[in-house]
Amino acid sequence: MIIDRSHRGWFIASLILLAVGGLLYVPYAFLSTAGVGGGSVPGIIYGSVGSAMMIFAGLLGARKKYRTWRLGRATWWMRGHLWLGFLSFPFILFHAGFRLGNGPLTRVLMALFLVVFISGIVGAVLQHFMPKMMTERVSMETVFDQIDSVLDQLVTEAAQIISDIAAAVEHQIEREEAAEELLPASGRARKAGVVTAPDERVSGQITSFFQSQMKPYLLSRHTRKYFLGNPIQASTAIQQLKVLVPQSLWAKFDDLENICEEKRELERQRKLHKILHGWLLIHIPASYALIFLGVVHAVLALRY
Amino acid sequence: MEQDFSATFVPRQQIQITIDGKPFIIDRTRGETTTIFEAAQKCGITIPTLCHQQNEKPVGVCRLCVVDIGQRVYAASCVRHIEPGMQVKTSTDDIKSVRRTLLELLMADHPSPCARQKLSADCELERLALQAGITASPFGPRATHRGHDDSSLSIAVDHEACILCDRCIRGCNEIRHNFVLARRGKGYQAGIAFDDNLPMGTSSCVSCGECMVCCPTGALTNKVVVDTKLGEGDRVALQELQKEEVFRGVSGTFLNLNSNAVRKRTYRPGEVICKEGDYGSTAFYILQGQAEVFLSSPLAHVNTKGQNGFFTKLKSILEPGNASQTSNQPRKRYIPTDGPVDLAQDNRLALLEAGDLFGEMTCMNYYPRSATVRAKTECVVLEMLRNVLDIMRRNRSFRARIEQNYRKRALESHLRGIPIFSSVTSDFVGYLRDRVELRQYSPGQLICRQGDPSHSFFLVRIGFVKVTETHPGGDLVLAYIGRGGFFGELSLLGGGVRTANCIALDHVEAVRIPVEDFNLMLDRFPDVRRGLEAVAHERAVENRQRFAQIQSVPVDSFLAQGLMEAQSLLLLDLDKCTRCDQCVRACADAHDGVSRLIRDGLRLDHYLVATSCRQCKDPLCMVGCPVGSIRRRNSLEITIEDWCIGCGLCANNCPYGNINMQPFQVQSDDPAHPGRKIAEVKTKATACNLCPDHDEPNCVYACPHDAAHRVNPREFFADLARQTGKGIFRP
Amino acid sequence: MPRVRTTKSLAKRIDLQYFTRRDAFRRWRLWLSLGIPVVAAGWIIYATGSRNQNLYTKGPLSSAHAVLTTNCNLCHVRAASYRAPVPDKACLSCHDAPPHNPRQTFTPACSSCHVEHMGKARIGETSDSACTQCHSDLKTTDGQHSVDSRVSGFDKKHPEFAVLRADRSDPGTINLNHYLHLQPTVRGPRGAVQLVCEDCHRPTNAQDAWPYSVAVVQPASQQPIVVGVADSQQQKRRSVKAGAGAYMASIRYVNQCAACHVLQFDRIIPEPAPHDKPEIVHAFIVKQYTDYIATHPDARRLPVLAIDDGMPPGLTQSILRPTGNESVTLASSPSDWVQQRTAEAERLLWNKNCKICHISTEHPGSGLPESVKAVIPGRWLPRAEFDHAAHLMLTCEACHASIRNSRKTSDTNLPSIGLCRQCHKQAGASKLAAEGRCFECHSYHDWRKERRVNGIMDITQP
Repeated sequence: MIIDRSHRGWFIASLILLAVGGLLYVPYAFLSTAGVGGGSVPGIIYGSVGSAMMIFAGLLGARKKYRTWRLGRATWWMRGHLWLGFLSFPFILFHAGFRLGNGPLTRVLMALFLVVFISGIVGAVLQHFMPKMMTERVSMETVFDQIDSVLDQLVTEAAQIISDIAAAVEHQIEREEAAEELLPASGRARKAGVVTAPDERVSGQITSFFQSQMKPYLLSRHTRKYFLGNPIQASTAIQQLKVLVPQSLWAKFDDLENICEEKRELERQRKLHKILHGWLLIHIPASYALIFLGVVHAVLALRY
Repeated sequence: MEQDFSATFVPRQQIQITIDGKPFIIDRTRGETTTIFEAAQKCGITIPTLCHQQNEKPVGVCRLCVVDIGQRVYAASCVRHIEPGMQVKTSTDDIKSVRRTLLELLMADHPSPCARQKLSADCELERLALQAGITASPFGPRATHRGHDDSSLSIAVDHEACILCDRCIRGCNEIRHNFVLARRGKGYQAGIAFDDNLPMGTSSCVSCGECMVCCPTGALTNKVVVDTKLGEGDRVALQELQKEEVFRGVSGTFLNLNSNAVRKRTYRPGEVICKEGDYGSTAFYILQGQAEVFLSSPLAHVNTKGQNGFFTKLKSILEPGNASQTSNQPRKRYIPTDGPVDLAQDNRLALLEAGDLFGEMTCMNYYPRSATVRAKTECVVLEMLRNVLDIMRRNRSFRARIEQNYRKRALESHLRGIPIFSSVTSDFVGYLRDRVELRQYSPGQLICRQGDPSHSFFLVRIGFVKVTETHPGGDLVLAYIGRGGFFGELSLLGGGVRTANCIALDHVEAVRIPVEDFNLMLDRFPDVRRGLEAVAHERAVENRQRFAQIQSVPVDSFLAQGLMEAQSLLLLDLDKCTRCDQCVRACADAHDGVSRLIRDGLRLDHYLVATSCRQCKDPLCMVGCPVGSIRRRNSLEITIEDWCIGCGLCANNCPYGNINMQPFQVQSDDPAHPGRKIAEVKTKATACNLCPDHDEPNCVYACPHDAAHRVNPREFFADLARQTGKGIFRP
Repeated sequence: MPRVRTTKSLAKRIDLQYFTRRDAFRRWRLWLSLGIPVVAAGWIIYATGSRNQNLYTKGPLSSAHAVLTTNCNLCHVRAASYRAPVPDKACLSCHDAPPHNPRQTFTPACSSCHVEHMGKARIGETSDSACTQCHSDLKTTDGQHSVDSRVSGFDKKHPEFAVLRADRSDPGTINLNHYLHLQPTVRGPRGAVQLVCEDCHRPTNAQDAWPYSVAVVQPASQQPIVVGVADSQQQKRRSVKAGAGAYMASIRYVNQCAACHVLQFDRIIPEPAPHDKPEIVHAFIVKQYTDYIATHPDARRLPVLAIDDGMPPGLTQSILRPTGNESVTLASSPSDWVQQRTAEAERLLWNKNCKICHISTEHPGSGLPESVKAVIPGRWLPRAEFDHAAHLMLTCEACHASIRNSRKTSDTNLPSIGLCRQCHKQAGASKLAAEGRCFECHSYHDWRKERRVNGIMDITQP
């Protein structure tokens, strides 16, 4: 979610909440007889408010599961998650009296909380510029889960093009040979020295290029070891193949180059997508643990 | 300045022929061809045929239509063209005995009564045989049997009854373009085959039913009646339908199959039959009674005022319009309707009678109802879906009647309704009445091409014509001309070359006025010429403005993706979208686990135009649905009803891949164990219908990043341009 | 032919059921989301199983209570079925801590002031707000209060020390002029001396001999003088052990004054009069004269006072001494001489010498003087504790700056509270200053009423 002007309402409400919480904290900090801490009445209130915010933030996951239920627009929930989740940090700090945990449980809780909070901020920051980056740098984007399937289809397409080229080349050879038969003997002798026509080696070369370079490149996930991953080298290689065939077939090689380009872009998309979504693998498990341990903490703290 | 149009004058031809001793003059445009059969039909003489179907290319295989033209051999009248001075004899004794022999030969092999005869009593072969007085054939039956094919779910194939007339093949190829049927074999083994002679059920046959409808005998009959539900009204029995004049000539098998697509409805006096502005998909044919057609909404326009504040309220007020405000000329104006009459602006009331068909445009093209129809006396009407109307329109006699109706009642008001032509006098219209030609165009058919010489002026009777200008990136649509509109006049004024492409957007019927009559009109009524010249000038100015506007827009991508067509796009803002798939999952959650949206497609600047139904103005998907299940009910969105048979035509037709075929499991009767149900996998088409049950589609509702929007593309991009102050796209 | 990219061709590539399958990301998310809470749960269960309640501790215990770390239940007494707060009776099972004032309107709970689980901090170091919750707006059960009703911290609204307020003065009745005593010209036992503070003022646990005590003028074989006796005047407070150098030893004639203010009354009698009740002094004088006249029978001449009949001006001590005037009347008998001489000596003593320091009046009956009790305060700040030993680094005059110019007995030469605030700031160590919180000087609990409590903790035998 991108935080823009439409968040004004939430931002102002959060500021107000924070101000209220902070202003109430000041006298509490100065006047409390037992000092600030989670166990005092204001401390418990801060803790409850902070936990309520955390739980609301956690409910986003549940909301996303029941997407079609009319429980409020997903956008609204996301905004709540961002702002209330952000606010829960100062409130928990107020609850803890700005101490980062003293006993083992509270230390772990604070550590987990920091992990969740910071990973959340990282995620939010990523969402501000990475989608745009993806849009700009991957023009032939597709659905992430289907990248492998699309690559298979690209292989099929490329194979088809290659066989078309090979067939066209061989057809050309046949025609050349047939044309040669009709030439006078002298003409043939003259021609024999000059290899201008494509011969069998060419189609073999093209096919082997496909089999040994292009196809493994398209299907592989570790593309560094293939020179086709580098656009300039790929272009050069394709050029070298192009000169072997008549000009009418050059357009097909452009298609092959475009396929390589698409592969490059899809790999780029894969990488960017993983970055854009990777932080969730920290944020979500940590938040589950946080909520579980938070409940344990609340239950036991109220006991004592 | 007088212009000499003689160079562009296209001469008409008058050919004189004699049929059965009577001389006839066939009047047609030079360059056209007419077969003897057509000529005879025009002169009212019917020649019996078996293999000839009026909407198919004639092949002349049955030889039943042979006529004597004085040559060595008889000519098959369905294929043979007339020539001036031809002497045709259609029913000499010899010819009659030839026909009889043919029929006897055919009847010898025919398993009489065949399935069709049993079902709807309209096997053409048996009917002709009966007319010729053949009860039993003197010839022996064939020794080899070609068998039956019951593999198809909806069509029963009885090769024994097939007379190899090729109608089904032509129907499948020419009309439906499915190319499933062909001939196979030789001699006695000759027959029709599906694909590589596969059983029909396993072939690529899509069960559209065209072959079955074309078949004159019981070789192809329908098995299962599709459970179309039209709603209220009484089901009409097959025999009753066949008795109606409008269905004369329509295949009984077809009527049987589609008897649920036609309903007889009775309306009390004062009851509203249809309301203007409603979306619908049916046409009405009045059997008895009278109905009034009028417009009930006031002649006013709506003004919306927005109030800026924390809560924005939109207030709409109706501002009454002045008659003089809307038209500059104090002449009579006519409002075109989707029926046989137009309504005068000052008296927006007209009468419809028995034999009138209205709602054609709504039925064929899914446009909203153009007027309100209310029964004046007790009315009995037939309400029908598109496929039935389609068949009716193919029927020549029906069409002829409709055309006559039009000429009598609507042409004048139609012509005079156009302000420019309002000074044309009645007697001139009377002159034009018989000289105009009503032409039908199928969707996408080019009526006239930019740059071609122009020979005619067109009024649009029903349907929409798209006027486009060819540009490097594609064609830019200049206008859509609907009923009551006209086109082609500019080129006639300006030197005889068409200035734009005119393409039939849907099923169009246009009134063609030949250029010489047009010129006559211009000469007789100088007002008209002046008016036309003014319009021409305006249009030129508009075009220049539009062109300037186009410069700022990468028109090619807009056009290439067909975005001008769309009325509602699902745009995913790629700068906000985190590719989380919530939209797709929400759509699937709301629709039985099947998503109707795909998150891939072409981009427009930083928006991804998701592959999801665009509610096109011209819904190509609807063209050809054999059971009329894909339609617009009462509102914008396109719905696929439950009775979709999964033929996949709509999916094929949609140029954006927005319709997908999904396999569903249904419980259907087990043929092996009657009374028990078995799970069967059927495919059905699915398309986005904008989630009408909610005020926001589920995909938009579920997007957590505010990236998904359902927008009207024109308004959206116009707003964007206004907001950013730049062109539609970011720099 | 360029590659075809239309919406339809792109859409056709996508398998419509892709989102129903769980891809690597969702698998990882699922397993991690299950795994990490399971690990956390396992930790909790393990802790519960091993009865380790320390998991839930708010922080380490103070050093004094560190032994209770594994015995949470000693303090966290189970009240209702679920809650286990720390009630007062839990604390009182080991400590007796009587409240300080019977008129206080409420008794705060132990835990409201003494916060545990704050680590090694001393639990007795309560925050100021524990005190100011009452004292910032003091209300008592009967409406009377003997201290300022608005005390809210040392830096701010703490009243001036009671003894230094305008209407108060040193209640001591022994005349003393510090200015004079600090001149370098005061006459000591062997000539002019420069007195320093510690010649007279020493902490109670000082072991070395007083420089100007009786022992200086009397040989050691004479009356042994006890020095360094704990002053019974002091009201013992717990935290600062009297006798550890907190308070100064009381001023006693025998320790600080005797060597200079010798009570010799007659040149002929070398022994000074005892610093005791007048009857004893009288008896001593009579005996001395009697013994003298017995041994010096020809000394029966009446002494002539070297001074006028009135008292000499000033407070210099005088002593009877013979003059050069020969016309002296002989006493008729030794007892007469004794009587006369005693009267003269007593006249000198009662009317002059004693009055140098004491305020005395003549008792009408016996003719002997009656001195007002010397109420030299042993503790000047009765409601607070002050430890001189903690202030060793300072010179005496750093705080008692006014002593050099103090000429009047009624001067209280104590530093004002403002001086203390120079070092003692409320924020204490965090403000790079000395501790300034309430507990540094005051004590809530009235330790005088403390009773012994028998502890309840048990240890498993090895």
